[in-house]
Amino acid sequence: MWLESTGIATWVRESGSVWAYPTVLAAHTLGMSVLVGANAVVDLRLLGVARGVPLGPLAAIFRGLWAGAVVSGVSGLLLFAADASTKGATPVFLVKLACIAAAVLVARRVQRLVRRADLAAPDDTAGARVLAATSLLLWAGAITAGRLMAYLTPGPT
Amino acid sequence: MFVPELERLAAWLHETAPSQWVRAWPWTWAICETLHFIGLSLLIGCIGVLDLRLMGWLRRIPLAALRPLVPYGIAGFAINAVTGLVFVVGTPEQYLTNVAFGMKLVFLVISGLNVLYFETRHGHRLLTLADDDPMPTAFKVAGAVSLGSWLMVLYWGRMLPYIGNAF
Repeated sequence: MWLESTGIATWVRESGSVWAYPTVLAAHTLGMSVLVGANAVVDLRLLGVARGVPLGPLAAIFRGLWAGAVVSGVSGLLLFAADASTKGATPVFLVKLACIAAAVLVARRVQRLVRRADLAAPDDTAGARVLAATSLLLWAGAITAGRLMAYLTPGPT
Repeated sequence: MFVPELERLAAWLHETAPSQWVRAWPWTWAICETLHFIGLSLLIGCIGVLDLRLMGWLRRIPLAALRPLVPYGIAGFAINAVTGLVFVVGTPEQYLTNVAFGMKLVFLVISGLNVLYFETRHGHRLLTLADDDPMPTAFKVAGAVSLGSWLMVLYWGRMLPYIGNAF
């Protein structure tokens, strides 16, 4: 696959430098922790944990959330490029991508909801709780599928 | 430092019954890894947002209002302590003499000492601090040390196979 033979994909895969594959992988995990962690905080709040946290000011957390998304997204793209033909043919990788795509759409809806809410708004509606629970399930699904790639992939991981 | 002793300890632990239980079913590892990643996200999210608040960000959120998130951060830590122990017991030879594992433990200790020091020395000030008071320097330092050390715990954990000798 052409993507695998690009200079940067070859470097990530074959250089053997600690700054190549290991650092890109570490960035992917750090970005994920910020992305999923920030999502978890907002979701827990919508599910009724820490009700004293006003939703309006909590909207600022989405800056960190999307920064984490960019870091894990860019590093994920590099990891994919380094091993595109194998990963592309791994069903569980497609499950991971589907979970992430759905979770990002849900996060955008949650962000709109949080932005709209003023201090007194009755924000713990059933709709908000369903969104939050869906978000948590989708991120857990993305993590599970991501981890399983190491076990359900043909050849070296 | 103590490498022969640690190697002997790892070899002994490897033969114990609990170690064999961990290795008996191949999916134990995959399930524990998945839980480990979910736990770390919970920890970084719930503790990280508190750290940022201590550092003086998200000022419009009352500090006390974030307290109920702490048990969820601790739950994330507990999941990772248990699953982490499973990894070490299952294949001790990958960890006990691993430089990256040593670094991970160092930052875990820093993180633990930081929270102990903060809670005992400054914890009471949380109760008297008004919502719009500027953050005392001690709070900012505690928040930064906490966030920095947890991210380093994560970083060195991820480096276990590459700088050290784990897979």
